[in-house]
Order: sequence, then structure tokens, then C-alpha cells
Amino acid sequence: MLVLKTLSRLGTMHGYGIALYIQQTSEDILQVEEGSLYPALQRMLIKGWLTAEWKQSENDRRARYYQLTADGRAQLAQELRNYHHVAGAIARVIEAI
Amino acid sequence: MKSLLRRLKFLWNRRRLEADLDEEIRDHLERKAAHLGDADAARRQFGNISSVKEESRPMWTGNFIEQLAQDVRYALRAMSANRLFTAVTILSLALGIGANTAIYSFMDAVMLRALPVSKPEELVILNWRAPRTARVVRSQWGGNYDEPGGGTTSPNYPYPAFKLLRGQTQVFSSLFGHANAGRPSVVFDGRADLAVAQYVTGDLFSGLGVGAALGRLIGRDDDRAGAPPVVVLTFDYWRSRFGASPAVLGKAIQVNGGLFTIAGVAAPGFSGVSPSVNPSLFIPLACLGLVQTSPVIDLEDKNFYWLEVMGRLKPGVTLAAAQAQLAGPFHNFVESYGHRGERALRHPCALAASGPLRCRWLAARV
Repeated sequence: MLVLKTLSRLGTMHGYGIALYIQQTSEDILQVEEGSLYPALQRMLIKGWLTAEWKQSENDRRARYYQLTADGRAQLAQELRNYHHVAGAIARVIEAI
Repeated sequence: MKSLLRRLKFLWNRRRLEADLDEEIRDHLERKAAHLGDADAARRQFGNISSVKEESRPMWTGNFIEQLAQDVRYALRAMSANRLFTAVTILSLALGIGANTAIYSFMDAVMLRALPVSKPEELVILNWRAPRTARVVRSQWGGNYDEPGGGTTSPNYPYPAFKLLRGQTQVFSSLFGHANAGRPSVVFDGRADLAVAQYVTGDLFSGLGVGAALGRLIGRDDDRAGAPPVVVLTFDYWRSRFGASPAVLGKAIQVNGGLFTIAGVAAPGFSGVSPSVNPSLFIPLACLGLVQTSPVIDLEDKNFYWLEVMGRLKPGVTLAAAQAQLAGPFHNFVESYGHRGERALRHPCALAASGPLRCRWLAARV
């Protein structure tokens, strides 16, 4: 969900950029584990949520940029709905105490 | 389905995917090293690189094949759990496919393949048409087609009517007839079998422009009372029954007990003019008495409608002109010899253009 959300915010980005963005936006609370970031990206490629493309990045390096597909956008919406649902439920339980 | 294709694409490209992943991780590490200013720390934080690759690899290959195999196994299990349903499904699919194939081969034979004859566009099939109540026919051997508006069309003629129409030489360059001879027993070289046979008049082969693969075909001289009885074999029958042996020419062959000589073999691909009948041999009409035991046919019977007639129009003669020319003589024939003085036919002699001689049924309704 976080990866999808990041890509929907940034448009296209490479793996390192995604990890960095999540880390910085969450003010270093969320550390993206790189060991699981790349398998996760592969999974999302196979499911058709993302497309990947090699492009020249800033300072002339080649990097693989990911972009959301329509399926990926739909998946993000679905996951956000689920998240709000669960978060709302947890909040209600906690406030009841 | 879309996802299956996508997965197949991944499977196909897995070598490149692996290289991509490699390069991507290297790029990641370099960026991180630049960011932290410490290559070792970057590598340490990343964790085990090969385990990342290990984790990605089965996503492209193993899992997918595994899952596909699981799906297939599941399908088989579901099918074997409900055998009746499976049997019915397979049977209906098989029947559906079979019926389709049969229909298409039939249509191909009837509508799409023209006869292997010369200038088929000149050939016509003769039909007559009568109001529903006209009972000019005492007996008939063949068929009629009831028309939607009432009335009957039939392609069958008495032999004397055929002779009369054959005299219309200003219309036809050639007129010929044929009739089914059923499945007589055929004895050759001491061995007997049944073969579909067809009676033909003397001008059929020359009129159609069909050639001989071997020997000669039935000609006008063979279709005379008292002429030496001969038969002509179709190419397929000659191959399957006689091993395509040229030695059969001039040999004796018995058809329903009548003694004939094999005169020749028709050109390959020619198996009569009816799409529904696939004869093995042709017999001159004049030899009918040697073969036909029941019903006994009197060639001179003017009220027995049985012979199917085809003709080749003279160049320049249109269908309408031919119809106009033939209507009078045939009308008079029916008037003179009509059974029990019944009313004459309304349109005594309709002609159906056969075009490239494709479909008798369509032609009969023209």
C-alpha cells in the first residue's frame, strides 16, 4: 500500500527513491526494508499493478523507474479503503476504554 | 486470461528480468552509498542480496508453473468427481464439433465445388413446374419440390419427353439424362460386392466435357438397343476395387447378373452430377433391362417420370429464350399423353440455370 501510494504521489520513481520517500515522509519512523522492497516490486509487476522502464536519471545514471497502472490505482483505492476501515475500528476500540 | 498471458511473458523473459534486478540492486546500493557516504554501511543495511534474488525468482517461474499444475489437477479432480457431467460435457462438445465439421464438408461438396466439367456456366438443369392439383404424373421415380406459393417443381422426365426435348437442337448443343441405378451387385474376377451405379444417356460424358483417365467413356453408340453392354468406372472405384490396374480394360464384369465389358475409367474427381449420390460405375441407359429387376422400367412409358435431364445451351442462347422454346413442345407432350386427361402443366418446362453446377436444390427453385 505504501509503495503504491508513493508512486501515485510521485508519478514515476526508482526503488531507492521509493524507499527514501517513505522513510522521509514518515519522518524516519517507517524504515523500508530493502530486502523485501524488491521482491514486493517484482510481485506487483507480475500482478500488473506496475510497469517498469529503464531511464536515465539525474546525474546520468541508468535507473529502473516504476509507474502505476490502472489496475495498480484500483488496488491502491481498495487497500486504502481496507486500511481506513481497520484503522477506524481500532480507533473506536481504543477510545472505548 | 490476461494475467496468464502476462505471466507467460514473465516466464519467457526471466533471464532478462534477473539481469534487470541485478542492475537495479547495484544502482540502489550506489545511490545509498552516495547518500550515506559509506558503501559498507549501505550494503549492511540492505541485507542479503542473493536472498532478495532468491525470493524474486520463484515469482517468475516456479510458483507460476506450480500453480498452473495445481489448476490442472484441480480441474481433473473436479471432473472425475462428477463423471456424468463430464461425460455429457465432453460428448456435447464432441457432437457439436463433429456436426459442424460435417455440415461444412457437406456445404463444401454441394455449394463450393464446381463439377470438374468444361464451361459449367453453359449447363442447365431442366425442371418442370405444375399447379398443385395437376396430376399428369402417373408414377414418378425421383422427387418433387413443393413451392411456397403452391405448386410443384420436379426434375424428373419420361424418357420419350427427353427424346422430344433432345430434338430441340436450336437450343441445346447437347442434352443428356441420368438416373440412379441403386446398389447392384458387381462381380469381377470371381469376387462380388455392391457398388452404387448410375444410368447415363449416351451424350452425358461428351456433353459435360468429362474426359477419360483410361480407355473410353460411354458414347452415343453404347446407348442403343442391341449395343454391346459396357460400363465406365469412376477413378476412385477403379483405384480402390481394381488397384488402378490398366489390365481391367476390356475385361468382363457382371452387374446384377448382366454381363458387361469395362470400357474405361472417368477422369479423377468426376463422380456423377448429383452431390448426394457418389456412384462407382456408369451404365448406358439402353442397358437398363440387364440390370434393373425391380421396378421394371419401360423406357417408352410416357407417364413414368424418372429421368433427370441436363443440357448444354448453345452459345448465345439465354435461359429465357430456352424456356420459351421448350415450353411449347413439352406442353403438347403432356397434353397428348397426360395421365387420364388431367390439366396441363402451368409452366410446362422451367429451366433452372445451374451456374457452375453447384446446388441442385437451389437450382430447382429458381
